[in-house]
Amino acid sequence: MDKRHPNSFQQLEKLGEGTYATTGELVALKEIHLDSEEGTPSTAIREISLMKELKHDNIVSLHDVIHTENKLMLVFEYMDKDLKKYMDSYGDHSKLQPPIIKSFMYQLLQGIAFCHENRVLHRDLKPQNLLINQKKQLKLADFGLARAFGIPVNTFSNEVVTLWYRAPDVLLGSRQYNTSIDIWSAGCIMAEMFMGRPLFPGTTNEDQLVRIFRFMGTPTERTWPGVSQLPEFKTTFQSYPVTDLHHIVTQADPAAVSLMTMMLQLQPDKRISALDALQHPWFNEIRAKEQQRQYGGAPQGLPLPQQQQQQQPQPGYMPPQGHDGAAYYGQVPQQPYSCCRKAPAGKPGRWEVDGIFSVMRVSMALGRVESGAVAWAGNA
Amino acid sequence: MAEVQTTTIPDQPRKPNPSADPAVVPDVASLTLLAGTEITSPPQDVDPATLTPVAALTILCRSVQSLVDLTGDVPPTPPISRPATPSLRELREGQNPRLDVRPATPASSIPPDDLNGPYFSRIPIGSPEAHASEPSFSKMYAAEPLRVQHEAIARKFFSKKPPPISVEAYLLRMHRYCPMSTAVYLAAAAYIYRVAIEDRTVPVTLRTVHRLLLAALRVAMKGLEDLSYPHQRFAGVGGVADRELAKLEIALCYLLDFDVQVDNRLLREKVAALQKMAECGRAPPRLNLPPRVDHRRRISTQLS
Repeated sequence: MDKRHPNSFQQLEKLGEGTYATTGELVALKEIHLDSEEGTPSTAIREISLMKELKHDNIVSLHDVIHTENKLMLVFEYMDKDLKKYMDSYGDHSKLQPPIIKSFMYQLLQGIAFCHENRVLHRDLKPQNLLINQKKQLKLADFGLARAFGIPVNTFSNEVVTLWYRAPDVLLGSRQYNTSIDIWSAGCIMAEMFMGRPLFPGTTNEDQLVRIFRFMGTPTERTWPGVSQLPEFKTTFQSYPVTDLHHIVTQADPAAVSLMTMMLQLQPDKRISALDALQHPWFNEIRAKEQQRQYGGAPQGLPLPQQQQQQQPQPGYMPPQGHDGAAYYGQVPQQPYSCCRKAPAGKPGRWEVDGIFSVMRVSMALGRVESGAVAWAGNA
Repeated sequence: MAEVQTTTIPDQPRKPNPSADPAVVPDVASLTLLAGTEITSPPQDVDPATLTPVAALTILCRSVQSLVDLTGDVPPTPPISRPATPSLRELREGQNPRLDVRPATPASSIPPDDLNGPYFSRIPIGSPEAHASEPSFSKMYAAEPLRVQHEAIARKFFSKKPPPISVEAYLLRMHRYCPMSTAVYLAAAAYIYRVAIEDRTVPVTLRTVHRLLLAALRVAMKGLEDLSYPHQRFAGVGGVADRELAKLEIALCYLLDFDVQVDNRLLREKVAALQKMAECGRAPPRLNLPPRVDHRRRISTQLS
């Protein structure tokens, strides 16, 4: 049979929403419809370009981008569940055990720290966007709202982060927000894992603010200098006193409450950074285990992300080596991501990356890559 | 994936939409002030943090214009003889999907009330080069090497003949009706540096420069800003049909391998390199070379 013909490959059964199987490995597919009215959605351009740069153990890998007639197909590494589903299925009334919360938070903060080092804001952290695999690794997903910061742009929206996880400065209309908004979301997620329900399940912008102030106290110029200058600040906000977090998140131990308090500061400047949070005493045992493992100790207990410290932040774009494609022939690309890259020599029309086999064809006049298939079994 | 799951959970708040934030829309009333903008000599200091958008536009314009002058007219990649070119018999059986493709449409005009501002007239930048009658697609056809794909994509950027509007006038028009930020102008310059000089996938000539600029500005704005102009408006100002703008932007994304994100250091480096190349007044040797792939040799190998 002609190897180049797409029909010579067998497409495996569709497993579930957005999931395909290969013989060895599962991949997750995300389809993005290309609208001829609006062109490529900016969320797709953002997500692809950012996830391509952010290679980290705690960030979902983007394997491939396939362009067909009217859609883009993003091929991601497969993850079992999102954190929300994980809590619902394994938790006790959706509450998780402290050791697993500690492991998840450590991994979440590692992922956030890596984004922030690379000058990227995620801007939509929530349990549904944190994916868990069978090894209990936690990875950040959905970078459709993410953006680079620190460049001179015109438009910085405050219509960001799903309401329950939105920081008070954003709720008050600030457009000067920074990495601290992701930390606020992480603090909310941490509390949710202990409590088994969202910390601040607001229904509207105002309701969200009131719920936050009821627990954290209403900010004043004295407690948060400059707060009255924010667009949505009203002097009519009802005044609430500060409640200690351990009265709210009763399940958490004092060290956990201490970390959560540092993350859930109303004033953005006072919120702890992701890197500093990773050094918090609550994570002492995880760091000790990590060190032990690095120095040859036998791995024990919860599986933890490996050797993330070795990854250096990548300051911006660096063109891949051998960019004309020739360097990739006959070998698997070094990076799992690849777009419209040719097959190894001798195997026309196919390339192989981490167990994903895909077939592409090109319309020369239209200059468009067509994909006959996405996930394939073996060496058909 | 998470998106699928969020939709099935009813008690979740809706997903935020940054571009729905009305307050991020640039001030349209200030447009008339920009009408008198002139492109003067470009500033030497390329510090993205302090550069004004007009200065960034000036840099973009000057360096791209110099590239055009240096490059001269490079013909588009010739129609490539392909092993899978369908036979006439296949064509008669209606298997050529090109026949279903609409011919290039003239530029769409935007109703003037779209802007609540100055009326802008339609300014077509010509039709794409590819011949509608050229049979070139087969379902049996397997993937080509990346560079061949890039050649095919590059053809989208060629006009049949140079559009009757100068680079400067074109950019000022874009800036007048769709003002953009410093980062967007500099990023567009960085993208053009990449495709024209680093990768040499599309030469910057009078026949390609308008489409390249339009696509680069569009992709930069979508990649870097929380809000970008409506597709129809951007296409209308740029003088292309909506569908063509959609094709150009995804084509440029693939040419850039989706390396759309920039930071200040990268902007500074790329723009400085582009300016240096453009302003030193002499063409670097490789600018005089034909595009990286030698078609004649490849075709003759296939024929022999």
